[in-house]
Amino acid sequence: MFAADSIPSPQKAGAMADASAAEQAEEGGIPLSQASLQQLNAVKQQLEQEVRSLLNNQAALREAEARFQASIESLKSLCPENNGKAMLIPLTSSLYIDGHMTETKKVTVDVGTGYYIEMSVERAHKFCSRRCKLLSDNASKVEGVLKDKKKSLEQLQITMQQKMYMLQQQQEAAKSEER
Amino acid sequence: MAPANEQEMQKELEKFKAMQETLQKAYEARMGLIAQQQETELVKEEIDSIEDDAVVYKLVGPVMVKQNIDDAKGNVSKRLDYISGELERSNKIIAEKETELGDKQKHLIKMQQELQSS
Repeated sequence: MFAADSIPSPQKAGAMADASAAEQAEEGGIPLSQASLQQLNAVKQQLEQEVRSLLNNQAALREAEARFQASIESLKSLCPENNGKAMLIPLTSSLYIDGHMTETKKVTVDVGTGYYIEMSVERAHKFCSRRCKLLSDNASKVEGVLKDKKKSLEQLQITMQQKMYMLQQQQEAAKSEER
Repeated sequence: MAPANEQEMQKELEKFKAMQETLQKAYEARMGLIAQQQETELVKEEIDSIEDDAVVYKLVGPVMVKQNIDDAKGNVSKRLDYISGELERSNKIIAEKETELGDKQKHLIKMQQELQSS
């Protein structure tokens, strides 16, 4: 492409300068308008990568939150009125066996790193709610960062387009002069 | 351009790339440690706030083993300390690698400039 050819720096040096430029621009070191197209492109790729991983993080957080919500729902059926009632126990997603409730007061909760704690339904409920809140707080934090990143990405793209346009104009001007 | 310089440059560049890779690996290791630390902290919080008569199990392979609460508390704290230690070590390594990489980069840029001016 023409734009890349017109920048008089060899590829090797370009790659390195880009790495440092990406860092600097991230910290607000050099203004966008003064960076070369190559540098801008490097920053753009970095930003895109960050946006992608943030989106993944966010999805994982939301999924985990949904799992805890589901646990809270299940806990609701563990009440004294349901003691002794018949139920179906899922062995696989499509195979169930008969059973009945014998314990409606205590549950065993996986608290992480292989530890399980036996606790009352009420406590378990609180535990799930707390985890839910923690996860949704984190998810909204991620969302905030994501918004910022997307904004800077947009700005970057606009600057890049302007640069491309300017280069094209210069090129055409040079051509007509040659003639 | 002197071909000897060019070759040297190429060699240095390869070294630089290898360093970048090890740094990347160090970052990943640190991420894993941070995740473990956070998870263990949550476990500690839970285990510290349970009643004295609560029953704690630890999953060992496919079996759940009943645990003494005090033992469990001790183990979790110990694990947290260990992870913090590892994290510190990892941070130190990363800081070292970063400065090393920065120096290398400066060196490389200088070499490149010399190459271009000659």
